Amino acid sequence: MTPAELLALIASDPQATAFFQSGNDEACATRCTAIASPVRQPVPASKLRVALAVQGNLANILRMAANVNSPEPPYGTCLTLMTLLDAGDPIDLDQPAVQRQAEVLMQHGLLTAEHRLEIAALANTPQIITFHDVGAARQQAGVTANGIA
Amino acid sequence: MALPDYIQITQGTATVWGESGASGVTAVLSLNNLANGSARQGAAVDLGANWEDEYLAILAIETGTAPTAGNTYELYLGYSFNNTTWPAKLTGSDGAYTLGTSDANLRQIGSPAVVLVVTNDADTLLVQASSIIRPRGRYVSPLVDNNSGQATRNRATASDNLSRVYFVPRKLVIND
Repeated sequence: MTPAELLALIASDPQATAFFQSGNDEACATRCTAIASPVRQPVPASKLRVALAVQGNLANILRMAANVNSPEPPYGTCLTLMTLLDAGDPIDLDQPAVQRQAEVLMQHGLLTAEHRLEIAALANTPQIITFHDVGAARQQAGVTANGIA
Repeated sequence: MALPDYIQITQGTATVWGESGASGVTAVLSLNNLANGSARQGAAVDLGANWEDEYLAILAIETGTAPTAGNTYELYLGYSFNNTTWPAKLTGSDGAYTLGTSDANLRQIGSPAVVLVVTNDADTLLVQASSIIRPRGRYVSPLVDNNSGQATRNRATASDNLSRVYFVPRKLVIND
């Protein structure tokens, strides 16, 4: 989040604004962390693997991927997914290609809509805003008190 | 028979930066309600044509809202040989200081002279142990960078603010 974006966030929330104006940047940062929209980030393969396992979907996908006689689709999708999970690279769930693979899994009963939402939520990463960030925003704004930039 | 001589240390008269008109203040550095993430530079002081080899630097800050323990205030000292050429965009006058993106301007001043590590105390004068400083020029100007997460205490009358920077000469004397 840029200083300008943080200033806009502070201005949008009366509580954050009150803290900011009183010079309590620590409380302002805590409030901003609470109200900031999460950002979407690639999900570590290990996290995705655990989520699929907890949902009970991993075994079915693995079984489908491990059997060369599985119908196609979803054989290719399952094999690709398992390959990615085993490789351990972070997976961007918002990529169109990944979205299409999720559709395939759903069409073949390997992923429910509810589970898909749970998986999608893994990419939500909270934005942590520190008092240093608030201080930087204050500098940019050139506002308040004695340290007017 | 000659008596042995000893080189010892005595204190000179301190320069005291703080709010204009505040008790004991000899040079202006306005630290009342200094916002977190902001820095303030003070008026330049002439240490004299023959200045001491060493000085004690002391940073004292009066808190307002209690900051989180472990956060910091930093005192930097900038020096000039002619009271005109200053490092790090200092001006030699009391005023706001633009740190720059990622403190780019501040990086030209060098290491902090004193780092005050705060405790979780509201409306309290916090004093860090002194540092021994060897000035790099005849003229000195202090700069206080607030990274405490809170503004310094906001006194209705600024001169009531107790925040100070002390610069105390350590004079060498020869005693019989």
